[in-house]
Amino acid sequence: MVNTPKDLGSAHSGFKDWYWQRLSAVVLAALLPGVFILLWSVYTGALDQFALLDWLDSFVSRLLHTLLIIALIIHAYMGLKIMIEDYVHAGLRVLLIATMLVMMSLFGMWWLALIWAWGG
Amino acid sequence: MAIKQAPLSPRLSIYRWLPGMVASIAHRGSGIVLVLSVPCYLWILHGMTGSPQDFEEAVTLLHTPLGRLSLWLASVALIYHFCNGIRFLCLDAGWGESRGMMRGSARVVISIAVASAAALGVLLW
Repeated sequence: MVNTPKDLGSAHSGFKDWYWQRLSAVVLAALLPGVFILLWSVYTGALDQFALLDWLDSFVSRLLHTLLIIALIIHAYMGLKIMIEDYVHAGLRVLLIATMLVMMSLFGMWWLALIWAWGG
Repeated sequence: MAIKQAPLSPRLSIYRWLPGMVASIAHRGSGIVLVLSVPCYLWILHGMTGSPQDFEEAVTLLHTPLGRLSLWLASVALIYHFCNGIRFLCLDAGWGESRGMMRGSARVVISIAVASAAALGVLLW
């Protein structure tokens, strides 16, 4: 039975992937409950637009949302990459991962633009 | 290409259905649902932070049957992924690694997800 790994593997990137997956998970676990509560408060009518913007339209909120986007992209990228590596054969794999990365970058940029622009 | 038929790791069809395995597969499934929910969240956020009319439209959209179903699916996926993610972090930290504990905690997170699915279903309909 091997209790301690001998090294970090031939590519030296597996451990880094593992580490970033967990680090981003902790950030998301801290930030996502807030998003969940805000969205449900709007759905139930507990928050109207002014009350919602009171929460969203501040520098701290924008910084937290930016952190959320970064953590979300890292986490989703790592997670989907692992799934693609597990279920998809080599040739198509590269194309899928590349497409995913481009899509996520575009969404990330749109989201950042949205967050830093609202409320005037 | 010599390596093109390298084996793919999780052979879903030959796994025995045990709580830990279900929790792991469900983590992947809920993860995919959550990735697909992000564009929807952005669209809603875009509406909610726009003009008052945009806000009204976004809230109305959320209340349509499709909006409710999406909200339900994304919420259940988030709650499950959150709870099981904390379970995974605990396992990585070395807590609850025994077979009995892993099965027990898997049952707990699956139960939380089922209970929240029922509760949110009641709340939405």
